[in-house]
Amino acid sequence: MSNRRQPVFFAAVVALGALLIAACGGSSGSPPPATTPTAGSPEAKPPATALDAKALEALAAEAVKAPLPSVGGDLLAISPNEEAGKQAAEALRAAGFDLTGATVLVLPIAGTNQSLLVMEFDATASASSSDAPDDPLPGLKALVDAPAIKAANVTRVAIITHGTDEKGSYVFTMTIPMTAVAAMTNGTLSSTDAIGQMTIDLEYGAR
Amino acid sequence: MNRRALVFLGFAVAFLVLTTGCEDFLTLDDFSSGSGPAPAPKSVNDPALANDPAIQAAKDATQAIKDIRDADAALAASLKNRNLDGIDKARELRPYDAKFAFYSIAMRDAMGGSLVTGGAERREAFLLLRLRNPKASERELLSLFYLNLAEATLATRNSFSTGSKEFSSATGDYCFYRNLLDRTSTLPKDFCNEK
Repeated sequence: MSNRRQPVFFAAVVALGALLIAACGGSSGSPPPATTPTAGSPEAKPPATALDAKALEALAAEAVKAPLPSVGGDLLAISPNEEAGKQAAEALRAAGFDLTGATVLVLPIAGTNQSLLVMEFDATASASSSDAPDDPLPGLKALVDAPAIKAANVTRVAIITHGTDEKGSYVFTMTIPMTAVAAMTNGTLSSTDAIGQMTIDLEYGAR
Repeated sequence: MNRRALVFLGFAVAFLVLTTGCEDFLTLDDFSSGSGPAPAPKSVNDPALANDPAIQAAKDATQAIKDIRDADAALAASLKNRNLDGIDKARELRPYDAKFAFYSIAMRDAMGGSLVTGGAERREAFLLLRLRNPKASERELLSLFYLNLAEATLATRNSFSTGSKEFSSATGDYCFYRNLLDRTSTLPKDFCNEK
C-alpha cells in the first residue's frame, strides 16, 4: 500500500467505526469514538477520500425499498454462498469423501429462497479422485445438518460429472432432493427408493 | 469418475446411464428395460418438473460453474497485473455477482480513484447485495457493504504491496471491525478467519 493511498483505507475504517459505534451505542473495548461533527463545523465535511457514511446509509435505505434487480432468467446469477459451500465440502471430507479435483458450491437460486448444492467432478482429470467411504451416511448426515446448509435452504443436490467415452465428451447431471438425502440418513428412505426422486440428464458434446 | 461416491449418494443408476446407448438426452425408456422393480429416475426435461426452480437451476449449473471459475481466474489476473481488465471481464461473466462489483470499486480506488466517487457503482453494489440477501435490513446491508468492501480493499491493496507493514495494520483493523460486525448482524459471514 503506498503512503498516498494509506489514509484512504484508514479514513474508511474510521468512518465504519463511527457508524458502528453510533449504532451500538458505544460498546466497551472499542477504539476511541469519533466525534460527531455538527453542521457547519470544519469537521462536517468528510475528507475528500473518505467513505461517506451518511451517503451509504441513504443508499442502503434506497436499496431496501428498491425492486430487486431482474436476473433475466439466469437462476444461478447470484454470488455463491461461500460459507455453505465450505461447510458442505468439510462435511463430505470429514466423512471420508475424497474431493480432489472436485468443485463444491452452494448456489442461491434467484427469485426464490432456495439454494442448490452442486458437486462437480471431472472424470478425465488425473487429479480426480474416486475414493468414497464405506459408510457415507454419517457424512451425509453432517451435510444435511450443517448450519450454513440449513440457513441456505438447500433444496436439491446436483452431481455433475464431466467425462469422455467412445461417443465423445459428455456431461452427466444427476439431482436428488435434499429431503431425500435427509431421509436416507435417518433411515426412512432406502437408496433404491431415493432413485425414484432423482432426475438425470446426459448431454454429449458439451464440455 | 467418483462413481462409488455417486452410488453411496443414491446415484447407483450412474453406471446404468453411462452404459446405456444414449443420444442427446436420456429418456425414461433408458431406465425401464431390465431395471427391475426399482423406481426410475425422471428426466430433467420431464414437463412435470418444469416449475421446480431447483431442477431448472441444475440444468444451468454447468455453465454457471464455468462462468464462476473463469470470473475468479480473471479477477486473480487483475490482482496480479494490477489493472481492471480481468475485473471487467469477471463482471461481464457474472454481472449479478456482488463480489466483482466490490473488487471493481476497490481496484479503482487502489489505482488512484476515490472512495467517494463512483456513486453509481456503490448503488449497484447495494442492489446486488440485496439480490443476494433479499430479506436483509438496511443495517445488515450496510454491514455487508463494509465487509465486502473491506475484503476487496485488502485483497486489492495486498496485490499492490504484499506483506507490507501497512497491509498488516489494515488487516488487523479489518478483523477488529469484522468482530464488531459479528455482534450486529445475523447474516452469515466467512471472511476474517482466513485472512
